[in-house]
Amino acid sequence: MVRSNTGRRLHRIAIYALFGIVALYTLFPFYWMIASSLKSGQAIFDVTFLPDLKFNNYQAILSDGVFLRSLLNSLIVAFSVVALSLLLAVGAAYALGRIDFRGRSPIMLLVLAVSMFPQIALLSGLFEMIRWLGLYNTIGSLIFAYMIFTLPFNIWVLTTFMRDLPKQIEEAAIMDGCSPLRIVRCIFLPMMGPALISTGLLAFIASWNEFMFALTFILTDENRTVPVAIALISGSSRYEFPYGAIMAASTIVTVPLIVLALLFQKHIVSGLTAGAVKG
Amino acid sequence: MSGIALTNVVKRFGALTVIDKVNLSVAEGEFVVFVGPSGCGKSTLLRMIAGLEEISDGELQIGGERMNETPPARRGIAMVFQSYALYPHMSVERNLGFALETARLAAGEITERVAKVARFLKIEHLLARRPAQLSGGQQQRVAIGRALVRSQKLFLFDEPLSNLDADLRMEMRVEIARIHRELKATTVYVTHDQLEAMTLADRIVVLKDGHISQVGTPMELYEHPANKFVASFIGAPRMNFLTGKLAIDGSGSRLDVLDARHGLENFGYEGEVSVGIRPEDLILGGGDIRLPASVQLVEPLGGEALVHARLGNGQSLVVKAQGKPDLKPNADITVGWLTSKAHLFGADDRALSAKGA
Repeated sequence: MVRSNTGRRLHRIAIYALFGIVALYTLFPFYWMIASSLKSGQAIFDVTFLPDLKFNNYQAILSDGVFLRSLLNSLIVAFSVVALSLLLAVGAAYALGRIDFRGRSPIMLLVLAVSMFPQIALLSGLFEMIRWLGLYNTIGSLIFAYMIFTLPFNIWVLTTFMRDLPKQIEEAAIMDGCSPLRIVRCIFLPMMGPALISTGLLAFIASWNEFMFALTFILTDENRTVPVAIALISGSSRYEFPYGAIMAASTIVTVPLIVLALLFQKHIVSGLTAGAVKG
Repeated sequence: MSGIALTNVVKRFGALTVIDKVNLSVAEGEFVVFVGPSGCGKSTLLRMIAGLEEISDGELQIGGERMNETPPARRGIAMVFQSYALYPHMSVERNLGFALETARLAAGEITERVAKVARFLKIEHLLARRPAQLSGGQQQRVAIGRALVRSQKLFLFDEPLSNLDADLRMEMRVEIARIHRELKATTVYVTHDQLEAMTLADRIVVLKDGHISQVGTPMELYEHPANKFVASFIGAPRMNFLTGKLAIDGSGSRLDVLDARHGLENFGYEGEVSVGIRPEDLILGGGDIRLPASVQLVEPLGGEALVHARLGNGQSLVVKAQGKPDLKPNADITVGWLTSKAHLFGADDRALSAKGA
């Protein structure tokens, strides 16, 4: 049956309408955040969809030393978590993916089990550990805590990826005189680029956005990370809630994530799907 | 100083024995081919020499020194893999130089040696490319180059040509023969292709179920196979086998095959035998023993033709005939052979030989 011209057009309109709804649904909150951040003073309480393009909220938030400090803390925490968890996960993945030893699958299951605990269940136990390690109220406590949810995921993804790298390449490297460390560093790491980028990015996003641990383990302003800092932004009086400043801060905080995601978008998909299908 | 000696070498995987007490020595500069069907242990044996598989029992010597515990890189070995196993993220040049880089040679010397090998293998124009940008044959050349650049005295090849198409396989076979002729390095080469074994080897080792079935020069194996397995494995098309009966007759023997019989020298054996005749030794309308047959199919190969014939008892034979025989399917013919060209195998599949006449 040949579909008529109007039928085809209707079909196309339906598809675009659906696209439109999905786009609106996902992007409207961002738009509202950005639009609000560009309004000043009382204008924020008027429901207008076009932004005013006033930048005083940004001026205010960027001249706020506490906020800038928390931005820096967040960057330090997120990058440290990414670097440490990738380093440890690559080592674990090499062992779990390439070396035959007793108890390999129980370890894999344990790693998976760890990642299934809800954060809140870990909170009090982790708090004790952090006190005991003397990390309370330092950003070290957050780096330590975030590894709990970034590591299992990274280990799983990288292990699957590592397992699927051809055995003969490893053997060729052995014949070429490489130590296991050199094999991982010079042969496997470059071959695992996409997987490293996607797992690293997800670890970055997870630690960048984390709120509960950051609220619990940090006491003072100068050690806070951005999500908590934004939540604690207060107005000039207790009767004023500074929506504008909060929206501006939120926008600033979103930017690095969007930049990273755009930069690496090609690799994210190939990294996450790698290992799903045997090549 | 690069001969290999295997003494009672055993490889077990759990309860499974895949290599069972293999004894073999390879002389310096020799080209030895391990051949056999899949699962016969040929690759495992090669990997044990390389050090990629542990040796469960027995001793491996290279250049007169025990090597069982020596790590692969220190055995003085270079190896070429079936899948080429090139490092995908490195240029050809770096692939070639990687082992030297690992050995911390000076950059100048690496460049020099890589250039020399590239010239030798005619891959100079490919140095800047990545493996993914090369054809199968070019990748194979690079893989060989990576082995050559370390200038080892012992080369191991693990089915290096299996992934190539027929044309390239021939070209690379010639190339590997040239490399061996020029470098004179001891070479152990694994293949399941008897043609590669016949054309490349100084000596062929035929393996079956983890045992050495026979060791010898290609012509020895072709002319005097020690058992039915080697006889059927070496030579293409495969040797024909017919059932016959051998009996002692006066001072000699008598062979009965179907309705035909012929006197032979004394084999000192009585009973059922397998009579093996190569397609090229079968004669249409001639021979000492002749059997009536009907033509099933003629496959012309140009200069020669393969005639598939069926005997009275339903067994089929393949005859390699010169030229283009004018035969129609179902035509009646006689197929025969000279008894001197036939191989006799006893009940245990071992070759029978005449008792010194």
